[in-house]
Amino acid sequence: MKRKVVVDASLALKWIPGPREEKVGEAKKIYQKVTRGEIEGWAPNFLALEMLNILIRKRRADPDLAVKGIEMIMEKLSVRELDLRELPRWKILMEKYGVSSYDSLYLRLASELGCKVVSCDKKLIHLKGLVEEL
Amino acid sequence: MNLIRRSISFPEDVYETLRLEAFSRRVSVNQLITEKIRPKKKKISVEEQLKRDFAFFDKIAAGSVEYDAVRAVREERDRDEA
Repeated sequence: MKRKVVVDASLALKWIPGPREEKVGEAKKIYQKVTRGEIEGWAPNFLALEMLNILIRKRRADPDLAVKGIEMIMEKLSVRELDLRELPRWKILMEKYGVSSYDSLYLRLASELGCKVVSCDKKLIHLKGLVEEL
Repeated sequence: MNLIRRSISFPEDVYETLRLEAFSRRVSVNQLITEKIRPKKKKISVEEQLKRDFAFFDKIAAGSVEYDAVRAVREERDRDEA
């Protein structure tokens, strides 16, 4: 069975790196593996919105190019739609790990798929059972 | 898809060739002709696709300002924290 990973926004944003972004090479290796079908990349559809916000509002990228780039990335991933029936589970993860509801979307998806979130975020990577550092 | 109906005439031998090929492939003559004349999308290898993707991502990056991905995500996700 193919290895699955949940792609955190902190990883996906390194696929469209800003100037002097760190760990771009490592991040690109994951994109290559997903594109080649060597691993299955998963993400909540909310990833697209996080990327859109950051690329346009923080990195000030060209909005049309940003949209196209996000679409290209989302096409490569298996995407999980937001399911409001998951609210109680997201709340439990927020309380248990002291994370935001946004973080809990990724953690819950990984737990459901029996895999880990790949992230570069120190706030998440200490959650050893659920998150793997890039 | 919008379809347009027109009558087209073929030489008998050409039509017979088409009919036989359509029969052997279990498609209609109409479908067969459409397949034959529709411009084919050029298939590219995964490696070529990767090269194109990264080139496009670099194009986006070239017009953007420095903002660390981790910092950006953390600010967004924790923005409502009291």
